[in-house]
Amino acid sequence: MKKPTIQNMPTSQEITALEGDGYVFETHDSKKIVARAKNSGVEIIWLEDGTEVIRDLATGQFLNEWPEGE
Amino acid sequence: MARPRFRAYPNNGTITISDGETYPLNVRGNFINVKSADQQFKILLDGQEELQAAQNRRFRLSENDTFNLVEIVNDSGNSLTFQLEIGFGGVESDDVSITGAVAVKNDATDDELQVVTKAGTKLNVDDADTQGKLDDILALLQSRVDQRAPLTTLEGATFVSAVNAVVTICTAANNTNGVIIRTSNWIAGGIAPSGIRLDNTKFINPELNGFGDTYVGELKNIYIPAGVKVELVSSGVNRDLNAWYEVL
Repeated sequence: MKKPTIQNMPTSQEITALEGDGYVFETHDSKKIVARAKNSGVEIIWLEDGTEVIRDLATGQFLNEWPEGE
Repeated sequence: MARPRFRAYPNNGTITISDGETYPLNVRGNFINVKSADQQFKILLDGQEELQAAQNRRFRLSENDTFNLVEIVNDSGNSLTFQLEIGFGGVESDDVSITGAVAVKNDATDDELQVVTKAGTKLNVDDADTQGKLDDILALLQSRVDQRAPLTTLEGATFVSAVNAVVTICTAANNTNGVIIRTSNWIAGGIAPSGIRLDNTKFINPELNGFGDTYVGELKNIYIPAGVKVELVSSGVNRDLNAWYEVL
């Protein structure tokens, strides 16, 4: 399946503005999660520093890359 | 001892003659029974009368008439294996043999032709091409049933979600039989629409209302035709989208 893409990487100012509006960012490794997608049992999250983290939802195992395919 | 009414020719089994060959029998009689024959052929009586012959066919001259020469003419195009019974009088049975098409006309009030139907009989089609077309029709009907199935179960559906991300549910190339969105929420207004997007541009759900309001909704049982790219689009961190879908 096709790898999801992030819609918009927020700037630090945008993150601050959102938090000011009451939005609470989840975190991973102490970094804010700015985007998330799940499909067919696999999850990808984007962190505020641009890092991508991929994991298998069934096993919890972290993956090096998104299981590609059309 | 009484003379036999007829006897077999050949008397010890069948004989085979080639295509175009004529087999003569110098035998006197007025009755011929084609006991066995694997082809149609001709019989000449005394070199004159020509009869069209086949297995189980019988020929009898009038009571006082006889023949003295029987010739078997194989014009079938193939070799002919046969055995005849030839003699006088012959033997009749109650069997009725019908060859060829039979036309039945029923115009009597007390006669009735009935068609017997068999319940629960499976229709078997020998022709592979016809069977293949029947299978295609069945598959198409089942596909239509799948498309119109109400949301009573999510069994068989795949879960997808997006927050500030775009998830491809199905590319146009892989969408060969259509996609069903069993259920999906959508959010419109604010920064941009979020929901099910088709071919990179068209959202199924409303986009913006022009007043900056945000409103939400749900899609159910939407069938998207083949050849269309389908995505779940979340336009921001505060746009949590979920969907259950099936790629047919």
